[in-house]
Amino acid sequence: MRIALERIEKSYGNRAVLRGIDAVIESGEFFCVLGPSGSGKTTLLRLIAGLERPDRGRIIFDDEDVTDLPARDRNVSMVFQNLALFPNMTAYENIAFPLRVRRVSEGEIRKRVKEMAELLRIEGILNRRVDTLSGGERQRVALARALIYEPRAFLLDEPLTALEPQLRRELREELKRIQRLTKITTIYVTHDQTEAFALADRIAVLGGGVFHDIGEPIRVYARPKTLWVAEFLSDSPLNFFTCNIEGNSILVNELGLRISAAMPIRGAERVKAVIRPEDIKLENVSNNDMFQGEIKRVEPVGDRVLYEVEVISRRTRLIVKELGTERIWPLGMKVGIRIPLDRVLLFNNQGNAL
Amino acid sequence: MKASEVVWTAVIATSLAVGSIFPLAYTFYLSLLTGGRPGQGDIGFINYARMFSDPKINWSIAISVTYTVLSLITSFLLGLASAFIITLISRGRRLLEAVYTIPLSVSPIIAGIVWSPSAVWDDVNSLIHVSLGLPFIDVTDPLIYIPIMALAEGWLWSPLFMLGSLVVINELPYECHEAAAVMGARKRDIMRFLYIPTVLRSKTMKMLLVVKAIDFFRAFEIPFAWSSWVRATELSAATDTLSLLLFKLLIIPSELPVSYVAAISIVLMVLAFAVALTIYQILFRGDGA
Repeated sequence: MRIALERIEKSYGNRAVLRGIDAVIESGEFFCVLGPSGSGKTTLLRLIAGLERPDRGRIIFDDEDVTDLPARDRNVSMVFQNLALFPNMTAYENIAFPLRVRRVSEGEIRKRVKEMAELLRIEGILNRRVDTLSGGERQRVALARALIYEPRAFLLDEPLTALEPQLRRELREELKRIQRLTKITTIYVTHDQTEAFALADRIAVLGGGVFHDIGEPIRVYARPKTLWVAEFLSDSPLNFFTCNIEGNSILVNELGLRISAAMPIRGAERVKAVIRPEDIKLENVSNNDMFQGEIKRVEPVGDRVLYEVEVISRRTRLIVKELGTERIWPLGMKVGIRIPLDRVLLFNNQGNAL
Repeated sequence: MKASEVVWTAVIATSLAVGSIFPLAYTFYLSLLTGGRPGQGDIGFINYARMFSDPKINWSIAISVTYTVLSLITSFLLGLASAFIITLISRGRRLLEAVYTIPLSVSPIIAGIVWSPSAVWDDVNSLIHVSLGLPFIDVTDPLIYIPIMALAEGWLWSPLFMLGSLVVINELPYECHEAAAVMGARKRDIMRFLYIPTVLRSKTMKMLLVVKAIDFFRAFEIPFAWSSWVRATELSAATDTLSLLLFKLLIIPSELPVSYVAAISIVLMVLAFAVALTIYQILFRGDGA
């Protein structure tokens, strides 16, 4: 099912949570809404589910306007952040609930619950009460309950947040596998970039009640449409530089770099260049170096190392991130610095990508 | 052990001894007297032997068990129904809760009178007879009035089960209601497939059932009120729960062997516990409780 969101607005009292959301989620697509806490992700999902009504705008399922349709008549499913499993009931009864509501015969329910349990590999826990299950098992039961009635859309509100990293990884893969099998249009909201990038066909980055960027994960990461998105998608500080515009090229003042702009830039505009720490490469010093620098700070962060490198002769410092810990540049070491010019991100004064 | 712990242990032990152990021990001692009163006869189990061959006692046990089961079912169903009606409405919920709670404040004797033949059944009978042309219902028939007594008891205690049910329903996370709605459930589906199983399996409700089972097994007031309406003043009447039988034995001078009454009360206590334990075992089976 195709879902269209048209100029959706929602406020609570004086606080505007969503301020004009426009998006089209294609049939069978895995669509992730990525945003920080309080950005309106859950509100958006609740509006699509029918648990709340927008103040303005329309929600269209295929060609049907469902804006005023109550949740029970939308035939979508939702996995809540706390899963909302029914306590005092077994896994079987939880999974069977939507079928019982639809007056499916007990024989058919048994058959379909068994099939769903096989799909989610939970055959052995069906007769256990949900409050005796582990986090991962509860998660699978919630997914089974949401999928068993073949909903038109599958909505997930940060369902993996409370789980430990290993289990999250496993369930993420499981979720992707099931979505590919079932081909149900899926909207997944999360604040976790790894999750969003791993799962999504397309990502929408939500901040301050608006979508800043919508697109394929690789494009959104590589060429974010706004500075806000670039900053949000980075887990380490970015390197910011001011630029002068000279015709169709941009001069990055602090580094003396000249970059060709993709399109003509109005001379009066100020431009900001952003270089991600992971895009800068450090090498042994040689005569071909773009720049030379000195390691001023070394900060190992798990499977990667953050460096602060002073660019010799430029009196500016760069944050550099290198993956892997097999080679760590020591403090005070002279290094060669390479910056791929095609990875430099350029933004105008309003923070929009050039 | 600290001095404060010694003091508290002493206080608890004393209060237990005075409040529970002494009355029980003394009643048990009385029940063992073969002469009927302190200072008469020997010590032995003759009263217990006599009791178990006494048809009056066996009859009363049967009445008490029947009364307990009927009252428990009636009060539970009425309470559950009231709770569900309350969950269906969105406005005036507190007022309705207050109205439904009123029976809890009514004296059991008054409840017996309210549901008595003259108060209700004369009118019901007249209505049935005049409007439908059916014969009068004989409310002095035990098969009729025992269920009516249980209905009175059920009405009286239904608010307890209503409040218990509401507590259990209100404890359900809000997202559970929303999840049910998203899955397509209407109010009646939520009631049938979510509330009823949740209430039936909640430990709160099971504990209430166990406690009220003990209470109903010892029921006195409503059977007492009904014993006058249906002129069941003789021993072994159909109103004679064990408590009422004890009362009758005590007020009839010729039937006043204190040791015999003490033996009955000990058995009443043991049976009440046994009934409660049985219900507990049934309800909490598989709960790990």
